[in-house]
Amino acid sequence: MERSISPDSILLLKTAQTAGVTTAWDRYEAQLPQCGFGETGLCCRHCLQGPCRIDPFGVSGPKYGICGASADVIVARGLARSIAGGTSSHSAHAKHLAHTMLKFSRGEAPDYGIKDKDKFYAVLQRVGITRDGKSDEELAGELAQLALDEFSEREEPPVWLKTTITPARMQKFEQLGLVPPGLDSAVAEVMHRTTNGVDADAVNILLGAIKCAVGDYTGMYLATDLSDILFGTPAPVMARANLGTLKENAVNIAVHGHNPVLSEVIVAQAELMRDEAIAAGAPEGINLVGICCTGLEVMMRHGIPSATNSLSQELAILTGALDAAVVDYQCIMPSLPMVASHYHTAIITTMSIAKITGAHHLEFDEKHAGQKAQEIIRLAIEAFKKRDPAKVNIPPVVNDAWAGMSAETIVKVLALVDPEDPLKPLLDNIVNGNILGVCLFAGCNDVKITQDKTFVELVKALVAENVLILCTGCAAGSFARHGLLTPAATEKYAGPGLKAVLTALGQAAGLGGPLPLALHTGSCVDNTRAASIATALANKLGVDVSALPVVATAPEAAMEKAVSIGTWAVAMGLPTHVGVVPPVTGSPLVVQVLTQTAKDLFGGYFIVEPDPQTAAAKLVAALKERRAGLGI
Amino acid sequence: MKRLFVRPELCTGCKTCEIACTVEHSKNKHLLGAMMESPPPHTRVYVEAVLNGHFDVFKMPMTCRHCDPAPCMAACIPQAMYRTVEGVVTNVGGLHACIACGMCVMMCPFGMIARAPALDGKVMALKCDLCPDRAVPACADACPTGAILFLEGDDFAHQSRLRASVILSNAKSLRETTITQSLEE
Repeated sequence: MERSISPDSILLLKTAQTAGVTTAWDRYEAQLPQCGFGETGLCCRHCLQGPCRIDPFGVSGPKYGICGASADVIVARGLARSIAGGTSSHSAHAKHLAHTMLKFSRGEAPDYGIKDKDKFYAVLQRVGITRDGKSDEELAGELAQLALDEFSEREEPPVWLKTTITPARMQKFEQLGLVPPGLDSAVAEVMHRTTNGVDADAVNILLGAIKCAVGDYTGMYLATDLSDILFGTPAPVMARANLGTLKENAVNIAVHGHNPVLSEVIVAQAELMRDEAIAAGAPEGINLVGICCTGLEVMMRHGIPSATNSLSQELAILTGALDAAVVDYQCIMPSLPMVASHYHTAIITTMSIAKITGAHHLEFDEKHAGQKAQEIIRLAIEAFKKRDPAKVNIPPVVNDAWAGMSAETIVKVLALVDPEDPLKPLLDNIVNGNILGVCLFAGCNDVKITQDKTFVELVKALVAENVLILCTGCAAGSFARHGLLTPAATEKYAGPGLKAVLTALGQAAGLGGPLPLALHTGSCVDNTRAASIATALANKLGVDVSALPVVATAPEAAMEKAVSIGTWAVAMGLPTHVGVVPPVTGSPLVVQVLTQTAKDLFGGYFIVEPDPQTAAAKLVAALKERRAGLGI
Repeated sequence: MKRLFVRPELCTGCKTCEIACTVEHSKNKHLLGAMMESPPPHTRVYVEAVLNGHFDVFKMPMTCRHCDPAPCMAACIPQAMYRTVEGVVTNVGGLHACIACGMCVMMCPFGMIARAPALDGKVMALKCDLCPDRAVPACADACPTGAILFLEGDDFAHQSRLRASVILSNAKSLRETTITQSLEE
């Protein structure tokens, strides 16, 4: 099996081999064969009497765990806990932003402010905070407190849930008991009901897991709102991608992880410290690049290049030109210091909850954000001085990439066609069939399959069928790496209807050509941007999201966060494709609930299909079924 | 004599057999103690993976066949490798000492011999001894799916025949239905 189809990854994987540096791909091979009980979800370690394992063949081994839990219960419990893991990650991200906003409101975070007042006031109105002549600081304090209250347990449904989904969907969640009383309490409830001796009905456990995933949606929506208010709502920006964006004559610093709280300040300070870098012998100053979603956050707000993403993060070090990787949290490989030990690269951890043995820890705090960012950049400049020119090996691969297609941006572009009714041009083109439907690409890269192959083949198959593509997270990173976030890709790959629409919109926006083939809607925490467009369309038509020709896919999913996102996408009513087989196959019942019963309950359901062409056919069929349902 | 037999179609790749074998060939004979030992104890059974493509990994438990004649015995210059009266091919407890020359490692067609430190620290050829202290070797005893079996050769073949017979009996009823249908037509 090929490891990657990304040309920069391929080149640097060869370097790794020659230099004897171990990467995730090598460690995956060392893990083979992987334990089949884990692969099928049939291993339970939730109590100290275990591990218990159910015989997946049902031949001679046990059919029940020590406590009596069946294969169905064990698989459902495992899935629920992984959704709780994903939800916790997004919730922590959201709370971090809320705390930053609260500190700003108290004058304790001087390097932050209200960057997008329009969005600030719009969000205040949506969540029901009246302005009443209060100062922005006071209002920010109220908003941050309301946001933090979402995480604890209360009697009212979460504000960011009930104000952002269709009334029909809210009613459905209430009927099924899927409204979490609080976002952190949703996680705690899953941990409780999946511990030994609590919930032992697989379907009931799955419903509990879906409730948690609804909490995940809510936290993510909140996170995106607060990020936009603090750092600006993304607007179209031309950036670049691939590891060729590292520069031989600059101090190269990668911001890596997920949260923009630190990286935004690094972007601001790097500009001011250019001369220090030049004095250290880097004529081009400081070159900031992004890895993973922290990278996408600064890409869509500042046009910072996206060097690479989660699976290939180690390869950035193998260029020999990366002077520092500044990391916050999530998807950061513990192996980075090991790889960096072959080079001069400084790995700098910054969060108290995310340290890595062997890395340099420089704890970040919002009160001294600017000063901390300067210290971090100075560490990078010091590391640059130790760079070995003989080891520099930057692959000559760079692609253009349009980013910043937030929901607000998409509506603004549509408003250029119809200022009175911005959604009308999109709806008209869906109705007349120029656009077959919309597909959101999300999720990770997964070492078990060739990096980017499923992303690229699936998207090419869908755009040929005139499917409008939104993308987030590593999907956006992957498309950027392959030049698919460009007008040229639209010319080359889009079906005639889609091409006509993207060209009309691009010309209205003054691009002189079509919009890019896929619209980069944000980082992985930003998936609710796409959901908000779907909700707006549904509300306009007076139907629920589950009636719309909208689907989602995580073709190369890897992380627990992808599991929780996929689950809320299903709960919101979207047919959701996954291109890797999740650890649920040990329970035919769980598989049936996720892929079939869910359709009756929510309209959304999972489609598991590793082959990109077959997956495309299944997603197109799902879109056509929705169109038929609407009579178009 | 009973031997180890493998049904690869039942292997999940959990490597419980490797752990059980390692523990059985440790000083402590329990997992926690075995993990603390120096030199570390060594497995004599292995689960190998053949990566055929996306999500298609063939998992194969590899055990010593105790061949007869055994290439490892034939290649053993000091004649340390011998066959016990029970038919077990081993270099432990024989007339001559293993000199760790590695000839048996080279000759074993299945790669079932490791050259590594034994419990006393002396490097030698380490291989399956069918667990002389146990009624059933640790690997077969530990396998949670019955992919590794300790049986007489005839019994294993008999079990295989029975499984095949069930398939054939299904085919027979299908064949009869087909014949009846074609006669009716």
